[in-house]
Amino acid sequence: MNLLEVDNLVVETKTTTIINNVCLEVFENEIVALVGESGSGKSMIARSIMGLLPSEQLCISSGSIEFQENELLTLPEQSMRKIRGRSIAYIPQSPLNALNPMMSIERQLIESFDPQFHEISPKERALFLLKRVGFLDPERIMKSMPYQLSGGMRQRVLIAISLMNAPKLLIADEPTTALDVTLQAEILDLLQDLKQEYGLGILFITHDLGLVARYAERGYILFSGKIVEEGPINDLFYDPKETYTKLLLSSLIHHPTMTGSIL
Amino acid sequence: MTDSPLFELDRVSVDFKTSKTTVHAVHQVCLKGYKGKTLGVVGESGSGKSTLAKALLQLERISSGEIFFQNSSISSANKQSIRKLRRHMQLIFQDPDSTLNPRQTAGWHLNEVFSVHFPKLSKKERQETTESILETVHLDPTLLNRYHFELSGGQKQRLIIARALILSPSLMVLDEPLSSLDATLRKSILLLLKELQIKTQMGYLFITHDLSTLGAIADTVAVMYRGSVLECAPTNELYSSPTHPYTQSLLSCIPVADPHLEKKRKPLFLPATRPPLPTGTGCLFAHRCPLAKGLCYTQEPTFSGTTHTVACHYAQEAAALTGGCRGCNT
Repeated sequence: MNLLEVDNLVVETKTTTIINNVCLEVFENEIVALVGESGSGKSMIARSIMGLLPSEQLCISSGSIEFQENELLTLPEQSMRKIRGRSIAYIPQSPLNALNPMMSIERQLIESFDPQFHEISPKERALFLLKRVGFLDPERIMKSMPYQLSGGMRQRVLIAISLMNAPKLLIADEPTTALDVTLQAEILDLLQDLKQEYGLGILFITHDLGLVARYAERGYILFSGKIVEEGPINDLFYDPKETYTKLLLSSLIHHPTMTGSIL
Repeated sequence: MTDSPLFELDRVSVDFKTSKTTVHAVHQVCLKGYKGKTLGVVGESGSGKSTLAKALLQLERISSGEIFFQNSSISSANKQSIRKLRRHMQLIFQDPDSTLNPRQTAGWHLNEVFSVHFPKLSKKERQETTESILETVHLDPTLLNRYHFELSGGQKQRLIIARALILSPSLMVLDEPLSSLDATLRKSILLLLKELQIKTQMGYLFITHDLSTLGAIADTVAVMYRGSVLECAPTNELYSSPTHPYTQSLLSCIPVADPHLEKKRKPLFLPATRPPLPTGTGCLFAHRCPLAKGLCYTQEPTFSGTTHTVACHYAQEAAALTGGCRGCNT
């Protein structure tokens, strides 16, 4: 089912257009990659969907964002708050400063919990999710403060927080850029498992084409606020149509033994 | 490689003492780098890569071991002779923004080097040298009047490389020089670095956490973990037959931008199963190693092998872990 549909989205400041006629869709049980270099507008799209654009400087001048066939752009803030963090969850880019340094992990997990969706207590739900994201001793983690956890552990806590209310759509904005390769693979494998388990739709924002090849099913290539190419992953990688996509692919740095020719 | 090494680290350790404990940032590292060659150092954050680079440049005091540069020991040299040596070794940092003065123009940064190291050069000579260096790094001379916020990321990194080149160093230490750049720019800077190396025969110490970049530029790769070098081998050999379990895990976790290939690969995860051993009591990787047994917990592994060295008690068994096939379980 079509979970999210962004149609002809235009985001402008007083002088410039930042997002230009962007259309994208996310289905259930699917990882969709949004690829682009820094400054291309990836995070702006994510924040538009979440309704978190700073309204003083930026405005959405036209277009629509539909989530489960409900228009989000015209929704009053009160109803938007019911969707944000519940049906649509967000994993921010840097785990190192996304957690409140003065609050225990337990409080941060439980803070976002909405009891009307669940039969179990917030604490049970938190322990369950901490276990699910790979912690062997969830009780200890619950009592910890953010500074006592490593970057990878904090990112896993953030994923657990985002899953507290069993969302339908997960927006992961470069969830692993701050992490090392081994951790990166661990976290993204976890997201992939969760996708299958809960039928999540994941909008995966990244600039790493390797990760796109490994995890995504479809992709959108964004360049200076415009989607220049979209399609199934295999088409994007093996039969790119646009110059910018070709440029991206040709600028990959590889060691010969890591590419297909040797294997 | 019959020539003598450009630089050599011999059992170098760097310890930091805090009020409670001693942190072993670099532990018993032996490495050699040659003229016109690139030695790559890879490791996760906190593995001691940057401390190692600083130790080599004498910016960090070493606790034990010895460092040789152009065949003479520099770890016990006095301040004055170190200053003279610095001319031959240049350092390029990760973040171009923080190494440029925001209140000065691009040209000022180059001029500063002339005033410190070649104060006798005439204005005309300075200009000529500047122009030829800008040409080698493919930077437009009209940019010299701009401030750093008026330059793009790639232009800034080229300016910093130009600044380092004025002294025609014989050793260039590159600490994550590409991390802050966009994917499309990385390759062009990498090609520039390669081109410069061929032209000037500089030796590079290239530090990064990105194994795919390293594969494209390094001649030899050393893998660091918790301050120690676990494996060191010529690049081709390391990538085609990684031996240490940690190296195998690292290589298997790097995604390759090829969807068909990715379907066949499976990352090899080695999570910690017990608390890590303190430095000096056993193998530093034992708490994550699937093969760890008795000896690993009681004795530090020594390096075995000549060109492809591995710090592992059970190197042969380890090599069979993924069949030396970079984690592809086909």
